[in-house]
Amino acid sequence: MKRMFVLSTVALSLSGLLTGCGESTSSDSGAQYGNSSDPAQPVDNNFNESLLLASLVDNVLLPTYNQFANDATALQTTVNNYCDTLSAPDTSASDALSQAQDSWRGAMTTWQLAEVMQIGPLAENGYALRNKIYSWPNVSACAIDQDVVLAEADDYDLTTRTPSRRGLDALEYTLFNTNLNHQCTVAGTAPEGWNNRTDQDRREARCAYSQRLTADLVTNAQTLVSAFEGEQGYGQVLKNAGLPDSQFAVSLDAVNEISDAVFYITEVTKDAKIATPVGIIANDCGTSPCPQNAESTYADHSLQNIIANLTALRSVYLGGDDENVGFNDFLNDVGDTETATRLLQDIDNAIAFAQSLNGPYSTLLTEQPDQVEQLHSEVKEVTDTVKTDFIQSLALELPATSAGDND
Amino acid sequence: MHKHVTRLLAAAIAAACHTSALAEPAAASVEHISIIGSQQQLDTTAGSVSLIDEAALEAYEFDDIARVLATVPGVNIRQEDGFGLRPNIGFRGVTPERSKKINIMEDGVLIGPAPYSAPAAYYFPMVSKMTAVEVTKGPSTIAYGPNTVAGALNLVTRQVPTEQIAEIDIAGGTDGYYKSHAYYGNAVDKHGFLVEGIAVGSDGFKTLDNGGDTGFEKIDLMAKYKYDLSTAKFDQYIQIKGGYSEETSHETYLGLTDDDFAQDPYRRYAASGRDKMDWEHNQLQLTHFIAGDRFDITTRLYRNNFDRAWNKIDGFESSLGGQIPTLQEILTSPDTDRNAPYYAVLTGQADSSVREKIVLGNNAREYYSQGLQIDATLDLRFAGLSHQVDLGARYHDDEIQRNHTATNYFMRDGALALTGEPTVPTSTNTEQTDAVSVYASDTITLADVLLTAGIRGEFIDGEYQNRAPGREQDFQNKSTRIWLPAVSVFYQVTPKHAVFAGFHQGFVPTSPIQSASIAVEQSDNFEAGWRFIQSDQRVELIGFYNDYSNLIESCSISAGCDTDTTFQAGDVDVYGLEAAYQRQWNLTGGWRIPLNITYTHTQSEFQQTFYSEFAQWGFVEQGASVPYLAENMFSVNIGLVGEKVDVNLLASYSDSMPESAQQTLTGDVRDSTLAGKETDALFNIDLSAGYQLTPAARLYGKITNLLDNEDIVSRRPYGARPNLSRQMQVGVKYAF
Repeated sequence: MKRMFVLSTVALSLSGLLTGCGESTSSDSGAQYGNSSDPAQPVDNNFNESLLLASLVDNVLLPTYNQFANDATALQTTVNNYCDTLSAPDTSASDALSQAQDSWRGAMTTWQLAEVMQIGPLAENGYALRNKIYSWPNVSACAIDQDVVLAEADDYDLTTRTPSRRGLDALEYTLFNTNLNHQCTVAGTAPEGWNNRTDQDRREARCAYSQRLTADLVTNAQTLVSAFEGEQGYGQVLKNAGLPDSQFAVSLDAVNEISDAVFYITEVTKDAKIATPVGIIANDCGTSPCPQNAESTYADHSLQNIIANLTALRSVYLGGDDENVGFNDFLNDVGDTETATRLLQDIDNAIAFAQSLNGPYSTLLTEQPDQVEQLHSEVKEVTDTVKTDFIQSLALELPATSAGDND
Repeated sequence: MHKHVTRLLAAAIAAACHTSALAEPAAASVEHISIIGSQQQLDTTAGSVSLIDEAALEAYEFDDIARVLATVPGVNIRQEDGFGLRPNIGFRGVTPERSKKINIMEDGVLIGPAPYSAPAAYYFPMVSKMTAVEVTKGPSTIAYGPNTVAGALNLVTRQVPTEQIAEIDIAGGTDGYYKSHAYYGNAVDKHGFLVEGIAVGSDGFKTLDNGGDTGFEKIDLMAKYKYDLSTAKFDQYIQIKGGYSEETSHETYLGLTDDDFAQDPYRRYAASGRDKMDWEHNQLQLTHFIAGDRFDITTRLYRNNFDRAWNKIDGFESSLGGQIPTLQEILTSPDTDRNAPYYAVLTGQADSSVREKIVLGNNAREYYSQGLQIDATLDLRFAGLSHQVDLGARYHDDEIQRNHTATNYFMRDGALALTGEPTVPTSTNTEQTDAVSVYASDTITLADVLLTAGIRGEFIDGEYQNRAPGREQDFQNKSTRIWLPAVSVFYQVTPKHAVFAGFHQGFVPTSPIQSASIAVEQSDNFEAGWRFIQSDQRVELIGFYNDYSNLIESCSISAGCDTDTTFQAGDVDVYGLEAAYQRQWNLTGGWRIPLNITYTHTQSEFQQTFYSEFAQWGFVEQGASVPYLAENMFSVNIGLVGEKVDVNLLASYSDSMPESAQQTLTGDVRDSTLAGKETDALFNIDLSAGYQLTPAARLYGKITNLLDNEDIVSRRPYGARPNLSRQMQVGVKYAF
């Protein structure tokens, strides 16, 4: 028995020793290997990424969000004015509606700048705040029709409603859609009695709902600004990236978050707003031009949106304008002057081409689809460079959604 | 046409036979194919080992390994397609997902498509042809790698006989079920051979919206040739085994909403109408065996090839971009503003708009697995003690080539129609592994005590390479080295009573694509048990405790990841109790009543609070349970067996299981979609009966799911899925 005890002790001791020194793993990987959970490492350079982040916050992000908040307030004023004049016997209602529509166009143009800057508070919790302000392509005319009627109840609370019933996309429908009939086609979803109401009654109902929408929009725009500005705001978080206690271990991580947002130009502007309606990507008409699949069909504001997206890309790239610290300076600093120059030229070319197009986007799609296809090519020039030379020279990572892109 | 030919060939193998004797293979030749060996070894193992022999397998004629393993304690299973085509098996609480953490072997050789590079077992051997199933857990596991955290499952094929044998087995049943199985073997002088073929299929028990096939067809052919080299001094032979098998199954990852399940659990949505798995598998194995008075050595050279095309709905895509809900989200909440349009398209009630394009992925893959392994047993005596030394070494090489593509479809009038967009590649990469493994153990006999100490080494070199154009620099070379010790003690207290205890270290490697910063899975596994054996009954009671220092899980296609991605949970404890009771009453007139009762109780606890993107975890609170692990499982298998008649009844019960480690939804967009949901508790009864018409002919029948219970076995991969509906089958076997 004693011998057994000794043997057991030896065996267990041996086992314990082996347990403690058992495992080792090592690896080497290529430059494109992307599954590393190691934090991004700054490229070897003298560039001050904090200056870039500060420039982006002070010259691009915050001014855009502030401008949108101002535009939202102006839109609220014009919509309220429109509703006040709706029952007037003269043409003032028509004029007021035009003013409200102009205000919407202004606000939308500004928001299309912000679309390329969806980071931090805008992206949190599945882009909840962004979707409240603008939920396209998640839009539903029928859902808005339903809520126009539901909003007439005393206990209606717009803040509890889904994004497709709120924001700039809902306002586009209520301010620009001249068809007063509801758009619900699925049995049981139509707002009860709506099509039997008078035209004036329906205009007033949509206007009243527009007032709720603009009030909600102003609140959300101010929420966005509040979340970004100040010592506790996200703008400061970006500026402090890489410092002790920062949520970004290195400043390049914060730069990468902004570059991720810029890929909106690839996935949304190039593909969803241009390639899909012109038929390069399948649409509701098959693979031929399909105006109803454009972004802004009621206001026919799609081309202006695309131009705004490209303009925002230019601003982010330059950190504001030529005088500010931007990504172009970062590229120059790491020695890739060729990409720095070419990318700016390609962006300017794409903007210039988009601005040269005449007529509303819906007309272009049906009558000059080759021009829209050319616009696609111009934008693709930009996105191809962003996905390759830009990312690689600055040691940034592609966003996960673009890693499998098969362009 | 090709399939019909092979099926006919399988049946013809037996039809050509003319001889009479049904011979059993010699016991000695079985033992080295079996990983458990003799009954004596079974009774004196310091750990949990289970053997289901040919007689037990024939009692129910199961085609599904999950049903076969219902009588083995400590086995946790997540059902999926009902037929068991791609089983999810775990032992003692390890994730059952695609059986990726257990070692699946056929005749002692790793049989998964690429056990190191891609351990998910999308190929599983034809259960219907096996003559034994062996389950090993506990310290003995270190003889089998690479996964030592849970255990090993060995499937034993028919042996080359020492005299002529032949049998044909034809069966049919509900839902168009058929089975044709035949084998013939003989031995002449030093030459022996066996040929065997089997074809199994069904029209399926589910119904597609707007019609379509939901069944499957599997074919398996095997041939063995053996040349006996025995002399007066040594038993020795060489053997070559070749096999070919294929499957076409109209299976899908798409399940149902809970409401639709309540209406008709066997419904399949229109969007799954084109889903289909096609695979081919072939194998070649060369074995040399030599045994003397005090040693035996088995050498195996093996190669397995597996090609598959797996077309199935992966989700939705929108030409307009934006956030698109997952299939799981849609089926969990089909009525929300966001999800309702997608649900209408899935069910074919509405045509797709440009925002609801259906993505069918074809996850085409090519695998190979090859190697050389040597296992030896030596009986030695030194230092005045008797030693049984087991040694083994293996060089193994496997590879997976992914050539995944995706094609978009519109739903049009209840059927899928191409969008016209080109098919695009999604994952084009290769993972390859060279692995050397060794093990050694010494069992010292000291009076009534068997003391075993052993160790296993795994030396793994993996390579990952993205083969997409322009991604040449997306590669990784990774090396992992680990030593895994095990110790155990067995004490024969009295001739009938024995106690045992053991420890071994558990290990699961990560695949070559995973970053080296992701730690391999390791655990300290302890167990202790008591065994009581007498002539007519056997009792075994084992407690186990697995202390994971890092539990890892990989998210595969079925969970929404295009390429397996590994997640880590850190410390997790799994512990429980396994009990088995076997008894046989011998009655007059040659009648006997065999009884087999098993019970498993398992508890699991995450040891920290954390968030993981892994869909089965989400926001995990300390103390939460591991998903898909039933706390209580119970089975009773009882029979009445006479000389001509036998009747068997298997009743099994499994508690409901959490579908996610997250216990409640928090409202965060990152919530695990199935937080708080559980599978149904499962209670199943299978009944079988046989009648010996003549000494050579046996008529048999069975009813599976006798009570026709309709339960949710899982809501993964996407939506609620049913257990197998009630099936009735009859067949006849004729031994020539």
